[in-house]
Amino acid sequence: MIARGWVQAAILVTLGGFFVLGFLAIRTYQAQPPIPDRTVTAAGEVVFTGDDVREGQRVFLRTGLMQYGSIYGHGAYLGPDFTADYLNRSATMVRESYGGDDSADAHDRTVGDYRVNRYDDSTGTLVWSDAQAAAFTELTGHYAGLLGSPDGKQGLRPDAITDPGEIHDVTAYFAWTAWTAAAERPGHDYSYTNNWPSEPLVDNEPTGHTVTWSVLSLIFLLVGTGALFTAFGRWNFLGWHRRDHRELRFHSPDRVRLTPAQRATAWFFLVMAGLFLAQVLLGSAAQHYRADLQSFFGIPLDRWLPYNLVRTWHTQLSIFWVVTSFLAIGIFIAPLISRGWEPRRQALLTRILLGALVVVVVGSLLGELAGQRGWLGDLWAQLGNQGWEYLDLGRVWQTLLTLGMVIWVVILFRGLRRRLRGESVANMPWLFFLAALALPAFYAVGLLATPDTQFTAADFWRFIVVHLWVEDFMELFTTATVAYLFVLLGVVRERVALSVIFLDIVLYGAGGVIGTMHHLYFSGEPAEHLALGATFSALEVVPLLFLTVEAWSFLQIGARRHSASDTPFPHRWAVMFLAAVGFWNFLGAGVFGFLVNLPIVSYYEMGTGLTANHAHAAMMGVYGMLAIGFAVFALRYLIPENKWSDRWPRLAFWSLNLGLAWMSFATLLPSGALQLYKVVESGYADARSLGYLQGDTNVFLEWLRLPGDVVFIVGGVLPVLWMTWLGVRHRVGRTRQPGDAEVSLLFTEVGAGPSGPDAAGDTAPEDGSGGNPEDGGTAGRDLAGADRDPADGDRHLVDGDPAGEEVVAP
Amino acid sequence: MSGETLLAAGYVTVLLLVVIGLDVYGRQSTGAWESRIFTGYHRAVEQAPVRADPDAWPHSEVHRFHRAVSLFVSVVALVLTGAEAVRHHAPAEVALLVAVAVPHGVLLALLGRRLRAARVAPPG
Repeated sequence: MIARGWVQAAILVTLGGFFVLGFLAIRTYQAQPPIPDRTVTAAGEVVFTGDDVREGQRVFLRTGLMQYGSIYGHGAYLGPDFTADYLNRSATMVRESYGGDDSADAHDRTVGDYRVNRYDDSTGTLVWSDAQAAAFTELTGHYAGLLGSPDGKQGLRPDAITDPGEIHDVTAYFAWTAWTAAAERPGHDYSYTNNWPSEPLVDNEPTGHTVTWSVLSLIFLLVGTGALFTAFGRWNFLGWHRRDHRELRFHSPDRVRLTPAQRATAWFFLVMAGLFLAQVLLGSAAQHYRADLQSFFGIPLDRWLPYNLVRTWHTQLSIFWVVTSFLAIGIFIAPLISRGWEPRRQALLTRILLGALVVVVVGSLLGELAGQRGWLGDLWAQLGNQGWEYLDLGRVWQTLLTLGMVIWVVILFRGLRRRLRGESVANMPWLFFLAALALPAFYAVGLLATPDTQFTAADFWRFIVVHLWVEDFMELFTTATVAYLFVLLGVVRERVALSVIFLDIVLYGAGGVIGTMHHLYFSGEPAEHLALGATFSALEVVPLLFLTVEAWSFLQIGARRHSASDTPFPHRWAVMFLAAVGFWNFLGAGVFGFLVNLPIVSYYEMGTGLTANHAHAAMMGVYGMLAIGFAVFALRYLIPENKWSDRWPRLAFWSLNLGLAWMSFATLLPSGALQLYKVVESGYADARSLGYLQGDTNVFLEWLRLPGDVVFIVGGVLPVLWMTWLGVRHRVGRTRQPGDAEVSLLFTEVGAGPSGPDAAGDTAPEDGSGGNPEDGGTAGRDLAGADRDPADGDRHLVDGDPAGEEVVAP
Repeated sequence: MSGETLLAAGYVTVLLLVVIGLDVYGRQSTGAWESRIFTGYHRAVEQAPVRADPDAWPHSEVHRFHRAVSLFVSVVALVLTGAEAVRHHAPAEVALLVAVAVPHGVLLALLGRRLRAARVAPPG
């Protein structure tokens, strides 16, 4: 159905991207900063050992410190960036010990202590100056006070870490990362972190690579966009030769009979809405910590729900609730793809999957609580809190979640297998299935990051999940699903949808796979990660330009199809949520993402409020709106016509979008911009300090977010929860029977032809075996006929001859 | 004059550009066939598809959505200037804040009237 060139291009681009990614994975392990076996003074006195550093990382992860502060700018944004904080504090102490402002050479001596790499690879020994060793001892006391504060009031629970050994080890860990941030990489004049963070005390400033590749990536973006527009202007890449034209009559939702598994998805959507509500309430609590660290309106929230636990749950639930909707919509549309056929016990498997999902979600969240509190002993990483941001859940839960997604793929395969048997792998049923298969496969990559993996390598694998899984494979599944929904609604031809999906694979594959490295400019990777990451992630903006167009194409075609139908198009609000996805893709992912993407901007900006701005506008704006759009689509069939009201999706739509816009423009964007200014003015450590965040102006901006959040939660989330409850409470009782074939599909096509407009027959055989490929020319057809055979799409595009364009009113 | 007031005034001015930018972005045609991505298609196909009617749904409602979001940014700007005026209200500060708020008020009035007048004719 699709030109072979598209398939070859998609395979080549994907293989090329992953080949380079494999090379970069090898380079990560070759070039990550070493952990010295021992760090000693010139006199040979041991300051800390390699085991101390490794144990410190385990303490850091177990106690949820990555959801409080950050390392190399990666983690949470309330607490300090421990790399920058240690570097700044220790360099200040060292400088003072050399005479401070009164000494002419204090600065040079300090810079020498930090930048000269005194690590001997053959002996595994790093030699520090006495001043550095003294600073370490002093800072151990500082971190004991910060992390073990009996009063809390800094975002952690009271007495979070009090064991002196753990304090020593976690300080050693911070000290080691600070050393890698300033000590020059052998053979180069910049540090292991490409001179990140910005710190005048040790002459840390942007490298030539950082500046050069920022400029070059901008040039690549302009050239790439221009070249693509030129190419599209010159050649008809999409390969369409006639305009598509037909008229449809939509089945009203109450005429569409659902399968038992489709009915079971009502519970998925209810769970999704419940998780969404929990996620935003936890987000509100996390936001309150930024506005007022002292207490939650008089309640000492940090005793029970400290910031790092709240943020752990907030970020984990952001994945859980979106994935729940994706799982549900996959199950919901599988029988539609299979022309109404569903294997036995599919509903039972669906309910088992839901049960397993609930167990994993509840188990992992409780595990994170228990892990951070130290209640699980040595099992903390298995059952509790692994601690890598976004991969916080224990390894057992992580494995079970992956297995849950595998069960989901099995459910989809069972439902699709009759259809897949007779289809080319390059056609939509297989693409939909393969896109689904990629979800567990790439989520499982996160298992490579263990609490014992060195930070640089762990971050590499973590971002394969955070970036590649989300931005490439969820994007692919999204495009396949949305395209298929419109095919199923009859508003887009399968061939058109296929072109869009392959375009998506090629464009996202070209930029997105290697573009993953834009998260890893400064986390201990060599400069090639920075160069390739900057170049290819700049190209990621190109598909965003096209994706907006792509969303419009669905809308445009959809609008033309329904206009003459006597049954109204039933998915007004699902389409509007998709329009919102297009808007936030442009603004949240495109504009706000590009704002922080260039290495030279990221060097100063990483880990400030501008990152949170991009994250919220892109994650909620794109995947959140999409997840709710999927739910609204399915609920239109799950809720009986007499119980359905457009009032709730309308209220949710406007409240969620306006609440999100408020969040971004009232707080995240201005406070992030001010923080960025502070980084450039005073250095990174200062701008990330609690002192800065608690400053008058920042607190004012944090409070300003409150009205938007209220609109978002009360007007946006609660109506979604109510709708999904209606879906469970009143879901239609009738399920599909063999005789329901003619009403199983979502529309009937009505056009000029020998059978006349009333011929609604030509229904698919119940066995889904396809039917006669030559029958596509009948005027009244159902969905099964519409996407039945490879020649069909071509024929209907050819139907654009003058006779075929005559519209016959239904 | 406090630095915070200057910053707020500067940001509110930036928001004015954001409002105008978003509104202009929202006015772009949602007719996919008019996109440059289809230029090659137009060359290859003699019968150019008809232009999308901006008053037909969903185009009408998508345009309204963009305008509503951009106007809402003006609301954010006015709330921000109001809150800032409560915090810092020396005469010069108030004058500056009023000066940067007025264009947002004018935009709200003009574009808001158009927004109310817009008909979306939803399906059904």
